[in-house]
Formats: sequence, structure tokens, C-alpha cells
Amino acid sequence: MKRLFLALLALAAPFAAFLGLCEVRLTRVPATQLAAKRVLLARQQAAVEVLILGSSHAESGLLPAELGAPAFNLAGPGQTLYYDHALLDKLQPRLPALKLVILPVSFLSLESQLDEGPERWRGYYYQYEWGLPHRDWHLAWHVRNFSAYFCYGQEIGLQNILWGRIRDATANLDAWGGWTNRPPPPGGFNADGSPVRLSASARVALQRHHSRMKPEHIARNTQLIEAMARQLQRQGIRLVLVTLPVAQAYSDGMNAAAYQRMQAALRQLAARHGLTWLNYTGDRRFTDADFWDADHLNLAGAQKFSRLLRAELAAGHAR
Amino acid sequence: MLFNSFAFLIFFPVVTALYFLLPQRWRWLLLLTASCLFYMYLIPKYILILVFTIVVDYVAGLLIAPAQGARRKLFLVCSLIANIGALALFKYCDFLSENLAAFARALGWNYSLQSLHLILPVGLSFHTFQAMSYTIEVYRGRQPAERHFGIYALYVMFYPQLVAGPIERPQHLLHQLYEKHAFDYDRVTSGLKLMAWGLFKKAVVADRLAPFVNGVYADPAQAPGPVLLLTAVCFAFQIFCDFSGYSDMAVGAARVMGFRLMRNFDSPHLSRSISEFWRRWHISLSSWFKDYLYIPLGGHRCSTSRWCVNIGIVFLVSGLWHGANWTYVIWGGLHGFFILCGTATERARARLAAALGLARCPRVHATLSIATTFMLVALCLIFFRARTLHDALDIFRRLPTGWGLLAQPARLLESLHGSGLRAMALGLAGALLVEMVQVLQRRYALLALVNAQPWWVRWSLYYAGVAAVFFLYGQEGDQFIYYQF
Repeated sequence: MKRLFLALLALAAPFAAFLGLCEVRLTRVPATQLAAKRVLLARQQAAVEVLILGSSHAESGLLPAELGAPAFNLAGPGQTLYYDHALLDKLQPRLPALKLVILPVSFLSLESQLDEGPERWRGYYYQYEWGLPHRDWHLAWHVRNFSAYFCYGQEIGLQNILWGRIRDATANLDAWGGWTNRPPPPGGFNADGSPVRLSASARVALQRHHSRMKPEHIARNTQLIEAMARQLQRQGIRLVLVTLPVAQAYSDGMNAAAYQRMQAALRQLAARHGLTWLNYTGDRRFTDADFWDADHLNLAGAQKFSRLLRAELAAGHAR
Repeated sequence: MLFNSFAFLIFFPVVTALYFLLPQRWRWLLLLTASCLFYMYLIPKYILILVFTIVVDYVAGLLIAPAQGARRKLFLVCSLIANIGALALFKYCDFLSENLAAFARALGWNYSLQSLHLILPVGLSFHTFQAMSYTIEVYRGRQPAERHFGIYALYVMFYPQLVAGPIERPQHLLHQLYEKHAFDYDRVTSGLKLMAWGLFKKAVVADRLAPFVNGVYADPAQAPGPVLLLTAVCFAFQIFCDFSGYSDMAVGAARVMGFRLMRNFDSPHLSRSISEFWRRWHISLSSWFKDYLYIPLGGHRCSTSRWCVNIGIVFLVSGLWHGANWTYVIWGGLHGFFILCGTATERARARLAAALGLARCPRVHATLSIATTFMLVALCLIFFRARTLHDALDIFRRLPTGWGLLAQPARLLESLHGSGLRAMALGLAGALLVEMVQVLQRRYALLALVNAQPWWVRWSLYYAGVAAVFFLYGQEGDQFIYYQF
């Protein structure tokens, strides 16, 4: 058995050394957007008055610089209410100046969970970067939770070690987590660089969204919003629910029953906790020219929307 | 628990070390406990289903062995009903209900039955079939009833083959559970090498091909014919490397502890006919169907029409075994149909081969046969992989379209861009390596050949193997495809 142990040790040693080196070097550079936002927020945390949560819709659709107060955009692709709640829970004590939390609730937010969809791998990043536990405990022992090499993937690890080249993801963001150099979202452009037709984009996006939506998630996700509302109310922090605009091709194709369920749940929540819910679905002030694809605002659209939201929040409007 | 998981990386060495450290009389208890933990890691409460089938079949075995005549048969039938009932409840209830409702709607009747929406316990079809083989063998008098409940439970639950086979027979596995296995360096390293090879197939080939295949099957209406055909080929390699990779890891893990599990794959992609393919693919299942369904139905020792019916039944049931969906039934049915066609046209094909001069070029003939069989298998797998019957039929409708793209390679590559092209190319390269190894394995004892090399050649190969998995593994791989059955 000793011989076997030594043989395995000899086999594993170079790979363990490589892995160790990778881990050390990868912790020095925020190689992912989530890591970049963690680093940037740590720098700004004393000043942040507005915190933006939510998925890629809010990530591309809300510009912190346009909100008129020190705001930080902590939204990210695939970020579900479970992670919004977990992030808020973890970060709120570190944000002494926090006055407002903007919680975007998209068409699919109430009826989906990250770990049930094809983007479940994003959960490893939340675990690795923020230490947020998975909702599904089966994923708790995955190696990607503990290692940057396995979490980011071998390509980033090899680029780092072999060529000493690693992209610092903070370069794409301003100091407040807003995009400065936003790469187009997947599906936003054709291979020749021309923008996709919004009708085609809407069909693909809706097919993807509808397939992962389950009404049974509404109860749990509503509870998460309620927990956030109670937590923030105790601290005297305002919580605003926002449904961002989507292209008409998208809103026309939304499952009507699911949309009604969403509206009913959010109206009930808003009434019960005295929350503001601003719903921009089907808002005709936004045209196809404001979108990257069917459900993501482009830079001009994000500016337009952020200014509009700022004005509406200042006026205390509710929809 | 998955073989390709971090949890198993801790579980396996701990269990194996304890296995060799414990005295023989406690080893069965260790393996049974480990098997329970292995299974409960997925959905703990479903262990109760396993306990149910184990208790039923253990008692049935004890009752069947001394009984005679109709009483003996009655005990067997009761045990089979309990096993198939559990399988039907969890796997087929909703399928049956949905189809009855659709049938009733077609007739204009008002019929509705609440769907149960039960989550299918992992590996239910595998361990149910293994348990059934025990009672059938006891009934046939080929296997004495097992009196040690723990050993019997371990026979059903032995963790390396619990969730996706190989489906063992009691004559082959039960007695091994009593044998004392000492630590043997050569056997242990041979088992570890097999596990590493299985991991390579799964992590480097199957998981690299998966994103491309998943992307196309998620929205097949967007893909032109050549891409759909390429995806069908990729999926044939993916499912083979996924499932045979699992089987290699299972056989390897058992071998490390001194157990011999049956071989589940024998170079199936080198088959020259569909019937040969089924002698080489998922051997433990096809031999199960042969022994417990095909031969009892009369096998081939009957009239031609009866034989056709027998083949049809076996392959439709085999399709249904894989999943409660018409896509699987059609997949199974097509294989049965091809076997019947293959037999019916055997003489005509031989005459055609002779006329074309292929008889004089056996290698060309063999290559053509292998390629044809592989393409038939790959095309049938479209039904196996498609989400719905509608998707599968749509893919077949679209297969002949868009071939003009071949004249515009740049546009064809564009249509593949963003769908994991690089990963797919790497996966296909890995699949070719796997196939080459299989060709070589048919000629040479590869492992013995490697072992006979100087140490630096062997160690270079070992480092290359580990490096391949470490640097080239596919990140999106999670479950094994056959876990869902």
C-alpha cells in the first residue's frame, strides 16, 4: 500500500504544484466580473447610497452614474432573487450610507431558480467569490466552489500560468460597477456583427425563459423579497421593485398567465410591505433602438431608463 | 454521488482504505454503509424504494427456493409485480396518464387524471433489473436463495454499479461478496488505470461535446442540415464516451477492491450490423433482455413471424426501459426494425457486395458496413436525444436542407460559431483517440503492452493521461446521461 501511495503522490505532485501556483496567482487579479464588482465595492462601500441588484437586465440597463447619488450596480447575469437576497444579507452591514436598494424583478425572476437552469454553473462563482452557499446542497462539495482554477476554467488558469496574461475584469467597469466597455450580450449580434432581429432574439429568449419558469417557485421567491423588505425596513432603507423595459417583440410573446401571476404577486407584496413597484413592461417610451437584444437595454437605452427611473423615484411615483 | 465529483474523490479512497484495513467479516457492512451513503447523496429519501425492493426480493428468494409448482411461480410473480410496480409508479405513471388523456381527447371523452410529477429515483431501472434477475434465477433453480440479508442488500446496492450498471447477475456477483480480497498492487493499479481511462472519456470527450450537442438540440430549428448531421454524430460519440466512461469507472472501482464486474461495452462503433451493435453496446442490458424476455418469448426457435414479433417486443420494451417517452420507444423500435431488415436482406446484400466486387476487398466491405451501421445508430439517436417527438421529426425534416452551405465553409463555420465549436472539435479529436484505442485493443492487449514498457515510457503515458484530464476536461459536465434511467 505504501508503494501505491508513493506512486500516486509522484503522479499528483506536479499537478498539485501547478494548481497551487494557479490559485495564488488567480487571487491577485479579479478575472471575472463578479470578482471585479467585489473588489470595486470594497473600495466604495463607505460611500454607497444606492445598491442595484438583479440579473443581466439590470446589469446592462441601469447606469449608476445616472442615478444622481453614489450608486453601485451589483447586478449580474443569471443573478436570481436567491442571490440578491444572499448578497444583500451579506453586504448591507458593510454599507453604512445605504439609503435605497433597487431590486429589479424581471418576467422570469419569480418563477426561476439559478440551480435549475442551464446557467447553474454561475452558482459556483457566487460561492467562490462571495462565499454564498448554493440553494441545492448537492453542489456544496463541487471542486469549483473551492478552486479558482476549476471555477474559472482551465483556459484562464493556463493563460495565467503559461503566458502570465490574465484579463483584469475591472477594466470593463467604472468605479461604481457600471459598464464602460460593455461587450454585447450573447445573442445580441450576428456573426457578421450586425444586430440580431429583435423578433428572432425575443423568440429565443422567451423559449429559454419560459422553459425554466415554474409557478411553484413564486412562493419561495416572494418570501425572499419579503425578507429583504423587512431587513431593510428595520434599517430605515427604502426598497424599490423595478421591472425593466423589454422590446415589444419580447413583451408581446410573454406567457400571459405567467405575467399575470407575476403582477398579482408583486402587487400583493407592494401592498403588504408598502413597497414601490415600477413596472416598465410594454412602456412605449422605449423603442427597438434602445435595446441590444429583446430583453437587454443598450447604452443609450440604459441612459434613458436610468434618468427616467431617477426622476420617477424622486417624484415618488408608483405604477 | 457522481464518479466525476470532488465528493467521490474523497469517498473512494476512504472507503477503499477502510475496506483493506477492516477484517473480512466487517467488509460487507462497510460496503453496504458506503453504498447507502453513495446513493443517499443524491436524494436521501429514495433509499426507501431500494429498501422496499430489497426486502421484497430477499423474502421472495427465500420463499421461492423451497416452493414447488404453482406456488413457486406465484411467489415469483408477486416479486416481479412489486418490482415492476415500483418502476411503473415512478417512471411510467405520468406517461401512461398523459397518453390516456390524449387518447380520450381524441375520442372526445372527458378524461383527466392527476399527474404525479414524481422525481425519478436515480438508477431505478438498473437496480430493479438487477433485483429481478436474482428472483428469476432463484426461480429457475440456477441460484440458491441468499440467506444473509446484508449480503443480498449489498448485491443490489454495491455502489460502483448501483446507479448505472453494469446490471449484474447473482451467479456472477453474489459469491464475490463472500470472497476475501487482499490488497494486490497490480490489480489495484489496473483498476485505477481503468477508472482514469473512464474519466478521460467522460470529462474530455463527452463533456467537451455536450455544450455543442445541447446547444443544437435546445433549438434545432436554427441549425442547417449539415450541422444537424454533425450533431447526431457528436451525440453518438458523446453518449458512448459518457456511458462507457461510467462503466469503466464502475468496473475499475470494483476491481480496485478485488471485485470483477462484467464488461458493458466491446467497441460497439466497430460493429458491422445493428445486431452486432447490440452484442457490443450495453451488454449487461441486452443480455438481460435476451435471457429474461427474448428467450422466454421463444427467441429465434420459432416461426419467422413469431420471431419478428419477439424482436419487436424486446426492442420496444428496451426503448421504454430507457425512458417514459415516445422518442425512446421509437428509438428502440427502429433498432428492432433494422435488425429485422438486416436479416431479411442478408442474402441480397451479400449478392450485391459480390456484384460490386466488395467480396474481394474485405477491408473496404468491412469499413462500409461499419460506417453504415454507425450512421444508422447515430441517426436513431436523434430520437433518443431530442426533447420531444416533434423536435426529432423536425430534425429529420431539416436534415436534407442547407447542404449548399458546404460550398461556403466560412458561412458554415459562422453558423457553428458560438455553439462550442472549439470544444466540439477537441471532443471529436478525443473521440477519435478513444475509437483508435478500441481498434488497437481488439488486436493487442494494450494494458499488458503498456506495462511491458520501460518505466519512463509508462510514467510519461500516466502523466499525459492525467494532464489530459486536468487541462482538457469539459467544464459543463455534471451528470452521466444514463443516471436518468
